[in-house]
Amino acid sequence: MFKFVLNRVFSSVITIILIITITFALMHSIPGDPLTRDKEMPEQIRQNLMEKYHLDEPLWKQYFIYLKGLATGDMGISMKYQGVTVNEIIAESFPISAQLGLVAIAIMLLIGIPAGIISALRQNKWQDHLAMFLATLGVAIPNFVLATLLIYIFGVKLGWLPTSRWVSWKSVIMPSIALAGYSAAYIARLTRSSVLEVIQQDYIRTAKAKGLPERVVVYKHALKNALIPIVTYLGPLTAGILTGSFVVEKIFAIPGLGQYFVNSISNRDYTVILGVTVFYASFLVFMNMIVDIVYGFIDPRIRVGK
Amino acid sequence: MANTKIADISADKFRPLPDTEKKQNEIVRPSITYWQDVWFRLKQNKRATLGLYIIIFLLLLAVFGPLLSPYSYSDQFLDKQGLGPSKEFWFGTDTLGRDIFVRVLYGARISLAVGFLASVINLTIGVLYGGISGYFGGRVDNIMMRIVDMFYSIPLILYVILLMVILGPGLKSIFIALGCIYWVEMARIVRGQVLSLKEQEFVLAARALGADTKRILLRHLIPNCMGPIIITVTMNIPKAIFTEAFLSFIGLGVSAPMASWGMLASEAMPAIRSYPHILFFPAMAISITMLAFNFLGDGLRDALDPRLRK
Repeated sequence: MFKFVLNRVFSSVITIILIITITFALMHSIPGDPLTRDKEMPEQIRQNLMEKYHLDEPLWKQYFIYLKGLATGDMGISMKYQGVTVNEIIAESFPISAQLGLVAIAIMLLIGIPAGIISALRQNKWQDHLAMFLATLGVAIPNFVLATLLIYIFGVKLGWLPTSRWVSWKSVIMPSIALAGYSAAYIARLTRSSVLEVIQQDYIRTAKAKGLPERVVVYKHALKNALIPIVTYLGPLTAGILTGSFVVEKIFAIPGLGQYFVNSISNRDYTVILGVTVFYASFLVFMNMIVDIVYGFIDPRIRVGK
Repeated sequence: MANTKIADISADKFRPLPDTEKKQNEIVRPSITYWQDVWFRLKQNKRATLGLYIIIFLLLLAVFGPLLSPYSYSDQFLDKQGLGPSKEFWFGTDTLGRDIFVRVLYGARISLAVGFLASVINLTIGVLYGGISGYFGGRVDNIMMRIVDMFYSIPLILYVILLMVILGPGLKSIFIALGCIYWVEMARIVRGQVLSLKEQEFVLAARALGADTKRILLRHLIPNCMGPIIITVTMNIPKAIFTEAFLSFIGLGVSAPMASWGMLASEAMPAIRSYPHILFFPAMAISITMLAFNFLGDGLRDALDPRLRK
């Protein structure tokens, strides 16, 4: 087990370094340099700025300077916002995105898992059909459509919830639902097929034959095994929340990292794009690693890295 | 009676079977191939058939629809801004007085072109990459799959965004960015299939007969992975369409006045209070397309899975 964990940590680190390298290479293959502006700046200022950002160094040196900065937790300075570091941007906006993401995860688990269980236990009854119909819709409707629909119904028509910004607990509701929609539907489908598979197994029949009440059989015996596949979905789920946040935060004008990222793309703020991508990548690789390790612990049949 | 011998039974008790009786033992139905069976079971699935019909309908609309319309996607009628659906403008007009129906049709062209591109990339680069990696195994496989893992460990859309930043917005950039990235999942799936198939006897037989690597891979291994390949393609088309809509929505996709569904939805946002219909139609178009491909994909998965055969 220790070897497995070590192996997993090692390959994650390699992956992150490779992603940093690719991102760095991509960012520096753009024609022109980050100081290219519409208005020509005086040669001396340009020279000084080039020196300040190490842009006059050869590329491989810049790469190592960047790596060294990353290792000490320094991701450079935003080129758009004067004097703001990428670290500050992430530190300020990531907690908001994280809050939103956590609420969304809570929603999708609280809706997706019970919906999946109910439709598996009432297979081919109306509860099942209803839940699966909604789940199919949920998988098919893109998050920006869901978000705008919610805004139109609950924000504009009914006026119950604020349509944008991040001010009270009410402003969390719509964005987190929009963010959770797809994954909740996916989890419901996953849970349903997993529960269906488990309740056909011999040990469930044994438990029923022992005379245990239905409730105990389902909640104590079946669910424990049926929910294991959900754990594997936690990796893609985090990724989904993250990419979803780009759109949802933009629509609802939430000052989270997703919106910063999208804005930095339109502003061509290369250091921020580079920094946030590296941050996202490391975060996701780390999450995937945790999921793999947790999976290895809870289900001894699977040791992913063997 | 119990001791009656065969010889004691008089011959006139026997008579030849009539021809109709003989026919019962014949195999009436012609044997059907695997693909005929798949097609049969796909047709049995109502949702999948519906999905297929919708996709065909969309394709026809996308190809011929704009030809039949009197307006172009960029024609503006400045005196007819933000109109609701009517006989003249089926889906109404947007805030710039452009016909939404035509714009949605053009959006269908873009979305379906993106879906088509994604499937071509999947079927060529993805299948070959996965096939080669799985067939050669060992160090080649290890290196090739590490590369794929690296792409796969963060959402593909992040790479697409990075590429779009470099290439600049536009339809061509979307094609290039998707083309560079969207084969990764297929490569993983084909590689897994090939890895298990290549140990089977028919591959050994082919090799014993002197077939070279190219022939074994293209003629023997890949046709045997067709089931998972088709499912993956069908599932990847809506993903690519969604990616394009997503990119256009956040302003990285096609540029105005071109109309893609994501772009239409994004343009409708500022006016949602006064003109909700501008959002409604593109949103419907995206959702229906995604639903249709999902239905078809689910149906294909059921039809192609030999374990579900009766």
